[in-house]
Amino acid sequence: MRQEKNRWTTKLIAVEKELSKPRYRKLTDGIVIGFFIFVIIGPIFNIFSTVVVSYWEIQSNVFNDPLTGDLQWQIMGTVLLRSFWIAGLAVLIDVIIGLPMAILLTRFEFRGKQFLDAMVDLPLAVPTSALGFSVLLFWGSRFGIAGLFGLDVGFFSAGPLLILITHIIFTYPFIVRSLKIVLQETPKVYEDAATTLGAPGLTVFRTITGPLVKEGVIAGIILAFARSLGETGATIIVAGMYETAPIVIVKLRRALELPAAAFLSMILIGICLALLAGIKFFSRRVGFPIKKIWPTGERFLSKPIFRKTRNILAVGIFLAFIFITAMFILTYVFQPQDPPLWAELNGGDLKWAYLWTSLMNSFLIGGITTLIVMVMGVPMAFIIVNRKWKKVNTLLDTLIDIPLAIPSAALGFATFMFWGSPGLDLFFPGFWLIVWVHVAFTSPYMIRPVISIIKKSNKGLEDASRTLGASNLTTFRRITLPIIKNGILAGAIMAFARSLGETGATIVVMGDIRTIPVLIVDWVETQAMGSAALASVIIILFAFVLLLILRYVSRPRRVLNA
Amino acid sequence: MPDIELRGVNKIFKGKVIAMEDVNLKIKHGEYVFLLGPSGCGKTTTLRVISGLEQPDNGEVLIDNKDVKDLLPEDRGMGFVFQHFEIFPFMTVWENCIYGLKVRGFSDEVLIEHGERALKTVGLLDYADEYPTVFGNPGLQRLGIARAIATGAKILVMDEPLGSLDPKARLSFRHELRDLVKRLGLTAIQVTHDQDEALAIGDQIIVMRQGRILQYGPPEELYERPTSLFVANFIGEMNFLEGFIYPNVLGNNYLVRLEIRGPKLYASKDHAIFPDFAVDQRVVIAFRFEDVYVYPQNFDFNKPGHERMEEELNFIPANLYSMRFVGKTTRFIAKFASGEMIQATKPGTFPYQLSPGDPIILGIHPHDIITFEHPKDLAYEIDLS
Amino acid sequence: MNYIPEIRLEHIVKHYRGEGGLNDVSLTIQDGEYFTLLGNTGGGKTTLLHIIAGLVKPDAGQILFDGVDITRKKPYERNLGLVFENYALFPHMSVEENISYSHRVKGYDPQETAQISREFQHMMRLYNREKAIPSELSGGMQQRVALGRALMNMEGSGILLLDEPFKALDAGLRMNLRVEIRNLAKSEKLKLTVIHITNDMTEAMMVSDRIALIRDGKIVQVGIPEEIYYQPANLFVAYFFSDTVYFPGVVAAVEDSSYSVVVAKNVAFKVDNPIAKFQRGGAVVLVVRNDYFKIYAEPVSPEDKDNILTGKITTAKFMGPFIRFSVSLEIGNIIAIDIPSTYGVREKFPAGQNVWLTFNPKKAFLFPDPGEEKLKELYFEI
Repeated sequence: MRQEKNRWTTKLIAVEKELSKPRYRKLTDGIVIGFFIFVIIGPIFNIFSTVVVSYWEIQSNVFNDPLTGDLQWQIMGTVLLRSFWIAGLAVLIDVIIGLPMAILLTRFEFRGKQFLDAMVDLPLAVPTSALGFSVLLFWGSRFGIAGLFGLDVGFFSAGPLLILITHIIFTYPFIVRSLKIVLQETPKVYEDAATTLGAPGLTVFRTITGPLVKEGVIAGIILAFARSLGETGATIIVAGMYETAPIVIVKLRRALELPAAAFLSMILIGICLALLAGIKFFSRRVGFPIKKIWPTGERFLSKPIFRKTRNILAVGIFLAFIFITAMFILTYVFQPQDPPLWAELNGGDLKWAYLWTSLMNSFLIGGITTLIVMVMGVPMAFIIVNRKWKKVNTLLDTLIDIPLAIPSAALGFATFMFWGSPGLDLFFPGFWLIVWVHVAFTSPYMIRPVISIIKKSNKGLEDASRTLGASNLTTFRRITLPIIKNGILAGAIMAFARSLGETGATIVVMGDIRTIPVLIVDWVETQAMGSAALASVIIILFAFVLLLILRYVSRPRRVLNA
Repeated sequence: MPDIELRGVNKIFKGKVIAMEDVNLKIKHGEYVFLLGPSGCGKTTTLRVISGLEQPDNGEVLIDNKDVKDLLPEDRGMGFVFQHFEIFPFMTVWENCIYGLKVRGFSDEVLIEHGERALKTVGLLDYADEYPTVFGNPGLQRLGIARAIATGAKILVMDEPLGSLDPKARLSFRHELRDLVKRLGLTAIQVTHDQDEALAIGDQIIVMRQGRILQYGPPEELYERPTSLFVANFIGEMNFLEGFIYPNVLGNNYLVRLEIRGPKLYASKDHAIFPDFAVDQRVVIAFRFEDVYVYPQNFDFNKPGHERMEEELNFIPANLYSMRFVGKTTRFIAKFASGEMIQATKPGTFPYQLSPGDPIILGIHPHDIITFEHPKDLAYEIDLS
Repeated sequence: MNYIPEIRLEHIVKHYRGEGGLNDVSLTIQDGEYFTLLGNTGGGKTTLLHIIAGLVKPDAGQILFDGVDITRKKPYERNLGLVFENYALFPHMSVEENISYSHRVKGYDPQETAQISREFQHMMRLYNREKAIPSELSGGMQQRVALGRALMNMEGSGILLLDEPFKALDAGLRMNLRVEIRNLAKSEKLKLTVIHITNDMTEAMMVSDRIALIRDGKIVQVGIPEEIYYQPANLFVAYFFSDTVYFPGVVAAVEDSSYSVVVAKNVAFKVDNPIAKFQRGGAVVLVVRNDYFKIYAEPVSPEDKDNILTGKITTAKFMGPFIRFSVSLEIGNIIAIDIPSTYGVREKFPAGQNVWLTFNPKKAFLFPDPGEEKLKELYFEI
């Protein structure tokens, strides 16, 4: 056991020492940062300049069309407004029903907690178009809940209400997850202290927990809002005739009205960027409402019965409304169809073959995307955490969040304009364009967990390694990597899952290639319900497995010492 | 065997926090030196500058008379021991121990020889193939020490190495640490805020406050001849009383009239900070807790063993505020009518029965009193932070 | 409440995966007492405090205040104040808001609250710091705010729970604060029972009326400081409170309560009135606190003194009030003893000097020999 092989280790160490020198670090910093600026900022910048360049065209098409006047502009205005109120309402409802759930999962201990926790995460695993389809089936068709009542059509028809329901469902796990994280990072000891000082539960929440978590909560809400604003895949499925902003972008793109599409994209992107910038200033100013305390009232409301009711309601609404709807599609597949599933799949237009190729495409694209994002994203995470360039670092940090905040269709469109024929003309719509778009979207999913685990990990260990004679690279390989590898793995899984489910941007840039989520959209549009359901189920099951692996990999590990 | 020297080193953080101000020190090889001071005094920064983990703003850092400012920490021949151990949790005890040798590319034979020797020195050879999770805190720090000395480093640099241990473990471990350092002939530089620790095992103590070195010397010197009120208060336990110089001088002693209702004490000139105080000059006298004799009010000084006391000691009447047995010593708090308190400690139990409120007599020998000039802000000078 | 209850813990059990659990703990704490729970990290003391405070429910056992079972009562129904390790000051509130929090959440009159809050601030020697937020204060000041907050909650009377209150502070500050906190607790303005948690035995001795030593979830000994120091119940307690010197040996003879213990060839020591009883031939370990030795530069006759050891000084180290001599004994071991550093002590005993040591038979301890393994475990902690 004490025999060590040392020859090639010595050479490796020497190489690492050489490469640890400052000049190499500057080089890698440059490459990595340049990459992300190119991939994320490039397309956005391009959109803005396209709009400027095509100003006259836009003027005439959108505002002063000879036939329709400014109808286009009016339509744009309307759909933007719609997207906003749907997103706003969805997020509001989610916070109301999600906050008690987040509190339940972080501050209480009970049997089955891990199980409930996993269930809350599950809708995250469902790609949005499959989710949309599930909602359509459950609430909007006779195969779902309406069937139990013997109705012939669904409770709701395709339209705004169905969109709202869909958005509530898919934003729910985002909000709960970010609330959970914020609550977990606020030590319970402050609440304990307040309790011993005589404050009842509600007062503790209002005076202590609230102010301490407000920044994180607002940040989470704004990101969820932006996500809802930009969601395309599911929205397309359940919208019917009702149009929202991302849908219009897709429509314009399909109709090759590029300047108009660019214009709308630009507005949408602009608003989201403003929101993102606003988080930093806004959250600090917002005071937590009302300093006054109403002791008797609050003590009354803090009684155990209210707490229990609240918890039961939170879990109940989640299960009945969100969980069942999201999972419904799994049961649908097994119901007898008309026409039967087999027939549909093997029918003239070779659905079976399409299913197979799309699956391969999805995985291939996912795999390559994840690889690229890992190679570029991990160094980026280190740059953001370790380098001491104050202002630049905040900028970089915001840069990483941009893909989270921007509507997928818009960014997809911008990417298409940038890399495709209107722009650099490097890539045709198709496989590689999809990869670039996915790289842009999945970067934050990779980089954020890695940043968080770097911050949590102990810099002291790296100091120790360096004082023992290891160069920076050797320290990274032997000390840092083993510690953060779980964080990297978690990031990779999240990135892969995100790529699997990406719909909106993919539609815009795909050309002839199909990925599974887009296939689902296609098939729903052509009424091939059974096949769409099957495709959904396959991808959901796969995503479940990924989620389980993710949870396993992210479980808390034992720490050594003081 | 190198000496370590800092000349005129300054370091400021974030534009305003002065961590080091004109620091000059010299550490001879083989010495066990302590950097001692309250939190934020600059001792850790000084340690990091010596070891290369921080760069000074200016000044020289010399090892063996050579400027090492550009040398990386790993190339200065130092072994580092951390307060929170920093043991690599995913490596075995053995792998931790030889890490420093491995990353420098040494051969198998060297690894085995040095690694085994280091583990044997700290008594952990039997645990070589275990993971560090089997250890409590003392074991982890032993491993930390083994890892630092395995590389053959001759200088051991330690940042509050005992800070994470329970008090009892700290007491016994500190002597083990000194034994180890002396046995291996190492130079040791240790940071601590615990003066007890520095006194117990240090050869030299450097006391710092707000980035500056206040005094530097062996424990006895700092203990018996502190050159400032802060050092007097920081090392050991000190009583302070304000007063002023009275015209009479007896032999080699000043007569100091105290501001607490005027009792007069003789204070030895030899132990004054300035041997030439003027009459009526305001002063502060200082004397250690353990140098105060405590007598019940009507004590018979003809008892055997106390013959010369009546002649030699200064006496101050007071009232007993509290008397507490704390094991190794008994601690007294005496209160004066003016409200001030004096503390005293005596080894073991106190042979006389006393209750709070009883009148007592405190005795202090003139040569146990150190006289200082009265500073502008006494509270600031004796503030321990 | 204006009175403070007697606190009784009966058979408290709490299981945790890993450390910190409690295994059948029973204690009685008198009203007005300053009671300390002493033990190493992970021994269960913080758990016990949280159970008394009502933040944690025990798996089994009861807590009684004056005979009334309050195990199910909430923290704020128990009239206690808790100072947490690291203080838990609300970071987004000022000093004033922190201290007066308890009164604000109970809806008391704001004018009165402000007045009372000022009083407590002055009691804690906090002047003109009302509007400061915790991050602007030094460690010592934060601690006083935490104390003020707890005291105001109890309105000056009740049960004060202190969870390692000085751990985060510098050593020098700690000494001063120990004196202060005991003075405060016993002052006439307040009526307090204090339960203080620490891992520092000097601290425990300085502040407490009584100390309970806790180890691995069990109470090892309870008593006033003198009792624990002079009559330790077992080897662990003896060793915990000071550095000790030990000699494994065998009981050679017993006469009344005076034991003769053979520790080496032809060397026997006398121990009077140990706590436990032993038979002739019993394997024992003789323990002497390292400051109980008297040291002589000339030979001592057995007629004058009991328990004579001969040896040579190897090193002497100045430690302030004490000098630590390392003595190589003729019987083989090297021991470290502490002698008060009065004048001339170091000159009288230079390195290489032959010395004679004695110790008082009444002050030595005798315990069953736990075996070399256990002794090594205790003295060489891993």
